[in-house]
Amino acid sequence: MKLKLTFIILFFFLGSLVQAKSYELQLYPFGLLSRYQDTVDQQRNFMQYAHYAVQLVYEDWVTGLEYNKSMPSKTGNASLNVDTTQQEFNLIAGYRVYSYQMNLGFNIKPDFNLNAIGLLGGANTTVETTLLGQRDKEVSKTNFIIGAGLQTSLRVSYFICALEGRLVSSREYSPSLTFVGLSKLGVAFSF
Amino acid sequence: MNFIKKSMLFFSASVALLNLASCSAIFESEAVSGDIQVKIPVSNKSSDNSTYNEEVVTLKNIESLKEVRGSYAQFYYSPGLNENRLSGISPLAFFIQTAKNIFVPKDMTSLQMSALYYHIQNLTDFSRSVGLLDQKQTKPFEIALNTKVKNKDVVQANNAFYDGRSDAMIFVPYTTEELPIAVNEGIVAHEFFHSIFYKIVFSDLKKNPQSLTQRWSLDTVHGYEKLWKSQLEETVSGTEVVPISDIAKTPKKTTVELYNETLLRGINEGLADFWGWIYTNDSDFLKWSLSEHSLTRTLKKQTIQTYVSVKSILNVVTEAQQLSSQPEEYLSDFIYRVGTPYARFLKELVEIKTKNNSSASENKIQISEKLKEYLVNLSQLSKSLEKNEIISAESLFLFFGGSEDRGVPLDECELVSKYLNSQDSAQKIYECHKDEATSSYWIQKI
Repeated sequence: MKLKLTFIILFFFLGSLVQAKSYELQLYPFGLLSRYQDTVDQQRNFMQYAHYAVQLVYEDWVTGLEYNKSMPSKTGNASLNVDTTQQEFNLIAGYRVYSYQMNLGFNIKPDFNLNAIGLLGGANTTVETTLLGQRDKEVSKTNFIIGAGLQTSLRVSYFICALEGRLVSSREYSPSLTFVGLSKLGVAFSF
Repeated sequence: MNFIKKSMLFFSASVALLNLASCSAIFESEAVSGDIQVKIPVSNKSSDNSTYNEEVVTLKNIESLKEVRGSYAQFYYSPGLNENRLSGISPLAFFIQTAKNIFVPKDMTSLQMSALYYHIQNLTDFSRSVGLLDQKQTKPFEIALNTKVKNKDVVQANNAFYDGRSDAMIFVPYTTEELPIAVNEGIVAHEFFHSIFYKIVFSDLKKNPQSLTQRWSLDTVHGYEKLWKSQLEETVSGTEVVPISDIAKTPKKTTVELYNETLLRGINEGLADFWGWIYTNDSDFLKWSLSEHSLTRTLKKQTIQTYVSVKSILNVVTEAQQLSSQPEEYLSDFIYRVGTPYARFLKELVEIKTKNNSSASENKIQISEKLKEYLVNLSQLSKSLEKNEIISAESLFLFFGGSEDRGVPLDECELVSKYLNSQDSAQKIYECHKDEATSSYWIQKI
């Protein structure tokens, strides 16, 4: 609950900033996040999440919110199965360390940016166990997430795509410190 | 600030933060030990309307929840067998922790590990309390999950068995749509009993080089759908498929040897089913996972109370020797026909006692304590067998039918008499004798 409240306050704070000058608002409705996770046989597999984000850029500073939801993971059979979904909210802050504008002619000038980012957030997991047709749902405590990484973005007109590599840590993860890869696609507006 | 300076500053701060965060996270996840509350499917243990529900239970003496390892059990994943020991990795278990500090398994393997640990814990405590397990024995029970057992080039599925050589409970992959075997507490109790039978009856036979029974399949592992006649072979790799050795390598047994082996296997299966009922109170505990076997193995009271006689066993054994090059495998279904009447008899005995006076759980304890005596007697009898001497198929009934110096109530004696006289409807062979001094009874041949 506290975590959700923090995000709501932050959202209004970001909204108030938009009213100022020379900002860029980036909306990412399509994103795919992958991170390593331990499996039962002591191997590691990539776990995939749907990723949604909103970012605000002011001069060289970047801030934003993101929501990640794991693809449903179902194990078991018709009589007994376990359905696990993990979700996380993250607050992002970053700094543009490199920027380059290309000129391809025909008034097309793609913007390439490299941002160093840090993130702080919370994650929880919902486990739904179905036993002989009866469902039982449990939600975990919210565990903190902390991480840092690099974000590259390429903006052409209103369209923007980004790639990220992160190192994140949370008690929710196994291993608790893990690598995350992220690709996303969206739109950007300048003010 | 130029690019390099900015980047260096940022990454130094990030690495320091991540270091702190990861260390704390690792310590927290490994610190889960002691008595842990988990939510798993358990039977409601109702005799009339048994079912499974999700319930919070306590796993005791957990050393690492990550591997669900503790003083009661430890797990292996797809192991091999190396020098009579399971070898391979421990499976990793994943849980969520709720606000009430209850751990909920995040996947089926974690759920099965938790359920197995819980049942092994209860069965161990119960077996110790009735003297069937040594109090001093503290070694955790070894359990193999997802074991690849190959028989005739086919990887086996939907089975569980106890392997005497490695003293481990083995689960092969479960592929049907019923309740997985590892969660079926009746089947877990059944397999657990095989370990008790092995330790009390079979291991002593193995130690006795003079015994005629040394050629018996003492390490036989007991499966539900098929008997694994031979032993798991040794493999070096923990992840390789474990093959079943060639049955033809075993020297051919005489009819008497095969009879004794079949009877012992039957008694083992019957008592194991009784143990499944003791633990679950469910007469049809098989129906949840292996429904096709449930009808023939039900422990519900039958209209005709009978057992498989010596003569019938000898006939089937002779047939097996004539028709099959692998008679032990041929007999793998028959042993359940031999065993089930013993299980039904013992269950009825508990019910008669309960009808008379004390609680069902007290009577289960009482019968279990007597069962220990019976197993010790059976072990001694098996060790001292002369050549061509057979074990009586009535031994269990006679043991519970009382004796001159240890009488039983009339209704218990009558139950024994009913079973023993079931072979010949025209002639009564056994009857109950009364001890006038104590008003108790014992069964005696007329």
